[in-house]
Amino acid sequence: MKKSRGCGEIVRLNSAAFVLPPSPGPDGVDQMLEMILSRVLGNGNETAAACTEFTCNLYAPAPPPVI
Amino acid sequence: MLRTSSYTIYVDLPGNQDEVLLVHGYTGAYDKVSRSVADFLRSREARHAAKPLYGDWTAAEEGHAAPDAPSDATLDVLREQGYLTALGCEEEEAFFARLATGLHERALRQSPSYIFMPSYDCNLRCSYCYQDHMRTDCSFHHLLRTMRPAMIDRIFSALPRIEERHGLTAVRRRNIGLFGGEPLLAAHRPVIEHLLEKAFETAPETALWAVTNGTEIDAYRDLLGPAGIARLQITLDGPPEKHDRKRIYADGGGSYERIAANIGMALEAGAAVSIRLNVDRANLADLPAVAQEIAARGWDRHPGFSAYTSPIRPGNAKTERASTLSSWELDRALTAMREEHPELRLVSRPDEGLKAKARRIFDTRGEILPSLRPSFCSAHDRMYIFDPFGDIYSCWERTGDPSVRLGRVTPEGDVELASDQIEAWRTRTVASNPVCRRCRYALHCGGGCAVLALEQHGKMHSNYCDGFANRFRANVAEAFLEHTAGITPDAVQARVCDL
Repeated sequence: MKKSRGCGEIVRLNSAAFVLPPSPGPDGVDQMLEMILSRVLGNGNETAAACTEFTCNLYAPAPPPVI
Repeated sequence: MLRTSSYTIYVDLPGNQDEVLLVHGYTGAYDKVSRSVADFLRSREARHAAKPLYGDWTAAEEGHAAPDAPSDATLDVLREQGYLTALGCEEEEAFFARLATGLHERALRQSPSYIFMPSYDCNLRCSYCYQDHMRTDCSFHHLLRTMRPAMIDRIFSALPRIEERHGLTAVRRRNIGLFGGEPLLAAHRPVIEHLLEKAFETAPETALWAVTNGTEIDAYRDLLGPAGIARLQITLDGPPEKHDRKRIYADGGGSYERIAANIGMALEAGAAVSIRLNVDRANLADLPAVAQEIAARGWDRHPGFSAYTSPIRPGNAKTERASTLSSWELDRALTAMREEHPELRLVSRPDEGLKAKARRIFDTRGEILPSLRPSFCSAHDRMYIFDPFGDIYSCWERTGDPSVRLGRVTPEGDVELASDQIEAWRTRTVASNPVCRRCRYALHCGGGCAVLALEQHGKMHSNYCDGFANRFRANVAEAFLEHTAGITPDAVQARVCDL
């Protein structure tokens, strides 16, 4: 297979929330999940109501933040 | 050898044959790649490739030369972003399921949100109401009782028990909604006043909101605003003459003028008002008139004002399925109508949130993490809905149905939860059914509404797609094109959530 020279092939628009190692074993995946969850969700003790029942698509989007 | 991740999403860009956007279904990565890189990834798919949204689909020609391999640097980025993986299909699906379950377990520990239903009763008789039977079938008459102050006290005594289950103590800020029936009937005022007193007494920073038909909120004028009921959702079903055919009183009379006057009053009182427009094929063409009415009444000049559309669902026997629109159909129709009616910018499309989310990622150059949704809504993690009898439900679409009751508040102010219902509602994730588990869009979609999935498939732990793949790709493409064109994002992006 021919190799491209790579000019303009890819532009990152953001970074992945996490990067999987090339060959994660079963333990590696477990450890990584913890790291991933911490990164994606913080410490998991959020008390602010960032999302509300308005997430429900039947009563769809949230009103704007309270002034 | 690396293969293309089963969760790679290809977003074609209208008018651009040379480039494709990639989005990854569980790493949250967004990238722009050349067509040849996209072709390379498609050639490494273990399963069939996704059909494009725009243009005609043609399968790869027989004997077609394999696309050039990207450069090593590009391959590295593709791997880091998740599009190339060393995991086999089953391994990757198992990883995806564990990730989704892990995300959901964290979501279960978030702060609960509460809804109080002062009554199932309502002063309107809207034709499409999913609770219609409660007011028209006398065998449900027992439900139409108003919540008593003693029950409110009992429920507030129970809230700390619920919060303990979420690992929280001494909560100062609660999220409390009012729903019905119609929660803000004038006759409910003493009950609502008592509820507000208890809410702020027990958690001084409580955020209060209501889903109301708006007909009698003038009885609550002094309770509306940032220090009281801060946010209202009020429904209009079209311009006056059309609205008054659908949202009618029991005597058949229209409700528009009262509601419109009260919207103005609530905005003046400092409450945020979100107008919901229920749309079907019959009133779709009326939306420009609604937008003109909004502008004429000056509602849009209030910073707390917003309006959005939502498709009417065939929720009872009086609503013909053929008269309804899917979210995708409504979204596309409204997008097309905006070309001729720019005033429709005042009314959000159903998928404005999807576009806003993608736009934020493009505009901030990846400084925000993408949000991943292991479940569709808070019915699956932290919502507790209390009806007038102290019964607890997870989803307001199913309140009043004892077969799906999550539990009850005991006379002692304790909480009894039904383990089978907790299992049914609080474990529904994109990992709990095989279709979502293999879907590349699942963590962007959340699996769809459980009630609609139940109606469609006969089981709650199933998918309800609602055209999400099309909706997602179209909105990501639009967001990207507007980002590159430097078009200012719509004001509706101030919304908190994505739907």
